[in-house]
Amino acid sequence: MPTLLPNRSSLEKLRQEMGSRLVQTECVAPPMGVRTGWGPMDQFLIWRGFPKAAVSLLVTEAGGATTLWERSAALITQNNQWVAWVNGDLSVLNPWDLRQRSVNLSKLLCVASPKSEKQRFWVLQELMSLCLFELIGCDCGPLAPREAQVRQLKKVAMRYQTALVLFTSSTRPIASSFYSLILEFKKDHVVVRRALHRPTPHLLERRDLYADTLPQLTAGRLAFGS
Amino acid sequence: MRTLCLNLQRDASPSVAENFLTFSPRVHYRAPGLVFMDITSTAKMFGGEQNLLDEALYVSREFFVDAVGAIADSPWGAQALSAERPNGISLPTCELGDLNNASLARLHQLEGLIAWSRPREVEHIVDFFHMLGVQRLGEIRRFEVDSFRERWQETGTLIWKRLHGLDKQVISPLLPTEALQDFVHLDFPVSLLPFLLHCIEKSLQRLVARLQGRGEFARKILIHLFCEYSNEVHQVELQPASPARDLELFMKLIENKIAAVSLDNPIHQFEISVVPCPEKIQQMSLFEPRTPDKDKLNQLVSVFNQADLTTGFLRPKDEIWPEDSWDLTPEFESYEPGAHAVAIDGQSFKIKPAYSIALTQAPRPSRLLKKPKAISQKEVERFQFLSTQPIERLESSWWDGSRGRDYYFALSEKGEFAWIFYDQLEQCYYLHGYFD
Repeated sequence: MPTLLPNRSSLEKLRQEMGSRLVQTECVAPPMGVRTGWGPMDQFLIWRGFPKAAVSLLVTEAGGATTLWERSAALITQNNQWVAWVNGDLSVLNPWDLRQRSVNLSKLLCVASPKSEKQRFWVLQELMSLCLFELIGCDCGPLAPREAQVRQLKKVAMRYQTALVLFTSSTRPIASSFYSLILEFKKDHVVVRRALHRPTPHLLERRDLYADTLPQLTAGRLAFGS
Repeated sequence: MRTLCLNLQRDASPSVAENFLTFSPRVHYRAPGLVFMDITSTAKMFGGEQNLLDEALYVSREFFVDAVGAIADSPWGAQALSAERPNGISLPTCELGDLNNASLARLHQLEGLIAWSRPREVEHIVDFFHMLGVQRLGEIRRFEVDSFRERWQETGTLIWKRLHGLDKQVISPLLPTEALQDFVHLDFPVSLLPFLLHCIEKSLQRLVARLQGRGEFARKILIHLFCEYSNEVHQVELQPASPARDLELFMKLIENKIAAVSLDNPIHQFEISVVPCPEKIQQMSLFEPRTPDKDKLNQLVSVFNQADLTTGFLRPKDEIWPEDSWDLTPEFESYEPGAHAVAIDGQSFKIKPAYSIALTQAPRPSRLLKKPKAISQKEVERFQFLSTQPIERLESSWWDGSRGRDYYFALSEKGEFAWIFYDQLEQCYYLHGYFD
């Protein structure tokens, strides 16, 4: 029966031929990321979560993006590291929900909705330049940032090693190559539109959105004595 | 008394003495550009006289590049030594010996806290001794006090006393009373923002150094920019989130504020006023980073607040209506849901319910609309309600005409999981948030 393992001499031959092309282990280590806590996605992405020193875009059509960000924020804040959130024009993060998801509110800085696109862009740059936040989330509403702005944000994120996650409800966001990760949240699955070194588009199945809420609902009913 | 004399080499405002209050509470400024400090009891806090001298020179060279200093037993001795042997230290009781070999011209510097009233008279004394062939200070110590008194009266007696270490000058504690203000006139009116900021920074540096010496923080900074034409004045007011003494933060705040000011009418003078308050004293840990996270955040919150962007930490509140049940506070305030309480008022009992106990477990959406959005019947029909009965009912004081809200879970056409309530009073539906 032929053996599948190469013998010692062929290994030596390979090493002689390719030795000059060998690189250090740290050179092939995957780029850093912050875990989302959602197993299938963390396993699929090279960063094992949201990429650090990069800009990600979450296109939230059917919802679920905020919860994913909150799970990641919970993991980071429990580690005594900082996260920041910039509110959108219409909605705000709910602290009661954040508490239930074990987000350490003392490590979450919340910024009110900027008055203009220009101010939002400035706020994000200021937040990153503080060199304090591991993860920053920003609700951009129906408008995704322009390509030049994304490029500038990426530059700043790289300098300060921050994971910047932008949220948009726009159904036609600019698929800029400056985003390292683009996720689309559909009703039945999450589409990975863009991810470094991964075949895209890639579908990740998701449970019904309310599946997470049903246990809460039961607890809520008990709490209210009904 | 051990005295440090700093010669700043040029005239300065008397308020410059405040910069050195960190080295000793007994500081005295004398024109032109001489600062005297009594360091008898404070030198050991700096690790010795040499370290204190180095630190004081470092502080003074921030604004006076050529500053020199010396330490001796008396103010006049320190002044003369700073000219004879810049940055030198005369050991205790060795002052007179160290000045023995100094040239006679050093008599001009043998002044201390009070300058010679008639410098020409001192000049005459120097010339007289030169005529006698005397070249060194030590050599004139052989003359009797009567010889000095007969020829030069008071000045002569004073010189003799000083040469024999018999005159005493005491440095009184300095109580800062001067307003923290700086006025700058620009020779060439400025209409370019970077130039103006550069000028303001220099001025602010001086004020921050004074604050440092006084052990104070700035609570508020007021800047008046006087324009060249039409007597126009721009007023800029800065208020950091918490009192601070951070030049970098102030400059950031100023830059953001002045960027909005039109400089078409160039600025030809400006005035900066600081409203001070006592500094916070904190024990620094050796293992803590130099700039703690809190300071960084304070900076950021100040910058954002100035841009009318409320920034801070989310804090849940014990309120019935979800839109009122949270707050944004500039500093983190921990929150633990309270328990129901009963207050006894005379013969009656008052029940104070704590809604937050139930809220910690009740389902709440991740995104809350800033204001509940009314939805028409047509829009309601597009939602797929997950239950026929409400999931939750929120009521305020029912005896007082409560609105009464019945909350439902519903799915939108796109698949969004919405939080909708039916208002009992208005009898219509509102969209209040998303489980996003």
